[in-house]
Amino acid sequence: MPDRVAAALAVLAVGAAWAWLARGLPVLGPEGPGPAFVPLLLCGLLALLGLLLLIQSPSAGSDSERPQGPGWKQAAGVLGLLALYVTALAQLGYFLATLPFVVAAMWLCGARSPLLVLGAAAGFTLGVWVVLTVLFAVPLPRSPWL
Amino acid sequence: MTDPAIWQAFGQALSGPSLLASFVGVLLGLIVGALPGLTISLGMVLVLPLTFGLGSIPAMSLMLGLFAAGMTGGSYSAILINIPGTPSASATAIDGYRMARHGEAGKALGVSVISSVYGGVFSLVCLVLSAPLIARVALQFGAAEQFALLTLGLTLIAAFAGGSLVKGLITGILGLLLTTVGQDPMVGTPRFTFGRVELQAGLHFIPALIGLFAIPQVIEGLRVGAGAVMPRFTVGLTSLLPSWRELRALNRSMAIGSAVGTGVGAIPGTGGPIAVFLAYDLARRVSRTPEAFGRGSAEGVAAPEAANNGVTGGALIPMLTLGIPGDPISAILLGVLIVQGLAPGPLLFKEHPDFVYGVFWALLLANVMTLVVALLSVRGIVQVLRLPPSSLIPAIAVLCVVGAYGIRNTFFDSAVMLGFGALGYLLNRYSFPVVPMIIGLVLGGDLEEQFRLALTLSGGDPTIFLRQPIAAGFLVLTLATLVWPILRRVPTRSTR
Repeated sequence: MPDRVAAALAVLAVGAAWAWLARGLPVLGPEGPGPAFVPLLLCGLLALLGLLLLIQSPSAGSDSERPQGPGWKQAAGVLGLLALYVTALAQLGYFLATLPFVVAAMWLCGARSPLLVLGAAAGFTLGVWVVLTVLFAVPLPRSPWL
Repeated sequence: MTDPAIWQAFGQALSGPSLLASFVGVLLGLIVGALPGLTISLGMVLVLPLTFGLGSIPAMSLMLGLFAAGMTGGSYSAILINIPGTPSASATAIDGYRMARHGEAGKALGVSVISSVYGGVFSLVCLVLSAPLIARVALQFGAAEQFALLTLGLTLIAAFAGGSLVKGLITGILGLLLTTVGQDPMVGTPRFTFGRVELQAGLHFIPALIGLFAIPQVIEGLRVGAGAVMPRFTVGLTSLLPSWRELRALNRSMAIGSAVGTGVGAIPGTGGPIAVFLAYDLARRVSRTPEAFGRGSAEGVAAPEAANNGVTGGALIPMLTLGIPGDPISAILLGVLIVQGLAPGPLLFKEHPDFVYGVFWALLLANVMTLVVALLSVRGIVQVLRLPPSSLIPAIAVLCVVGAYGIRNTFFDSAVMLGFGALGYLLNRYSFPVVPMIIGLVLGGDLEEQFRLALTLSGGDPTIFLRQPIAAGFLVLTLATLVWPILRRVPTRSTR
């Protein structure tokens, strides 16, 4: 299946799912449109645009039909690592989560000197805390043990 | 006759926190702008957490400093390594890099900085003169006119965002649809919240912005010009500053660039990359030495650099007066205002004139600060171009996560940010423009409210949008924006 067709079907599916979620909400209120009116209108427009995308000839769009940028594996890996970092932040607090995350991320990005990686990770972790929390009063997650 | 709010705002803009914020913003802007792979928008979303603890004027000083200096910083890498630091510096590379190869790198950088400040100040004057007038007119708008105007703004952005109009409209509507999460704006009914308390107030705009802008870049990795061969040049102040005679010769190009940049910047959906090439072309046409363009002409650096900084003031015109962000950067600025509890639009001029004047002063300060810092820090900024991506990507990732957390001190926002990051990746992968979605997320709440208010006030009569002449005019322009790409294609096909 061409990617354009897959994208169009995904758009149609999102529109249909959103309209289904709005099914319990009143479309009209006593003095005009109700809470479901605008979401349903937008779902209708989304469906129309999804159909237009579906019937568009491949040459009609100015952009390439082929997917661009990094592949699924890279995206899933980075997003997975970030999700792990968010979980660690919640459980361990800023310092205990950030230092190992930065070390791991730098290593994955190609840095191989242990001294440089550890030094940069420690400096950055401390620097962000100083700038955000000490200078700009933005709180960071606290560790239950520190 | 002078409004005392002007001088009150002047005092605020020159207070210690504002000056420090502006300096930090300018320095970060020059670095972010100079590094290919980092965009000004990305830099702005990464420093957003810093604004949470600041007052409204220092917060705007920080962001405007980053915006103005980021535009200037983009020329460093364009001139020195022929890789534009930002898309808005693309035209600068044409002549700037050739000047550098002819041994005039210092002069090219100096011309770039001075032209940038010229464009920035010119656009500020236009903003100061036009914004109160536009706001006064916009204050007369009722719900129908406001709905029609917001619809036009969103359609223009979808049409000009690049790629296909259909894809732009799809992402714009997806953005609008996502703003329907949370309490209904008219009657307070919870919608699409799945019983979660965190969703009652809707999806916060800032985590969405961070996710859509920054996470795809983290996934992709940064293509920094590390290892690029940089020409040797002197960084003394005298070698950077052009002579008075040279400056006078550049005046026409700088004026053209400034006017084009300001005008283009004020049109939603356009922005720096379009302005710089228009300015470059126009400057070449009116130049006494058009043959020098493309071979290392200082005029070829001056015009686009004045244009990209001209965009800064221009972009603020629709954002401040109408509440319509014309590009991602003004959408971020609008986000800063929302976090500060201010609502952009004509009422801002009526209810918070001290803040509006503060923004004007902050933009002037940003330009002056850019001139000083950019000229004095060339050596340091050039060193930044040698930073390896391995040290940047983890830093951006951490700032994204803790930045999203810092808004309301909840990990839910960090998770929302990651969700939008995944969405941003998908949109980029299949060539759907992200900008209309961001603008949809910004305008969605207001758009629905004005639409429903107009219908409620008219007793449910949809012709209200056609009976009001101004609203009808905006809707006709919206229709023309939608039909124009189809009409434009017809003669092309018939000639084949």
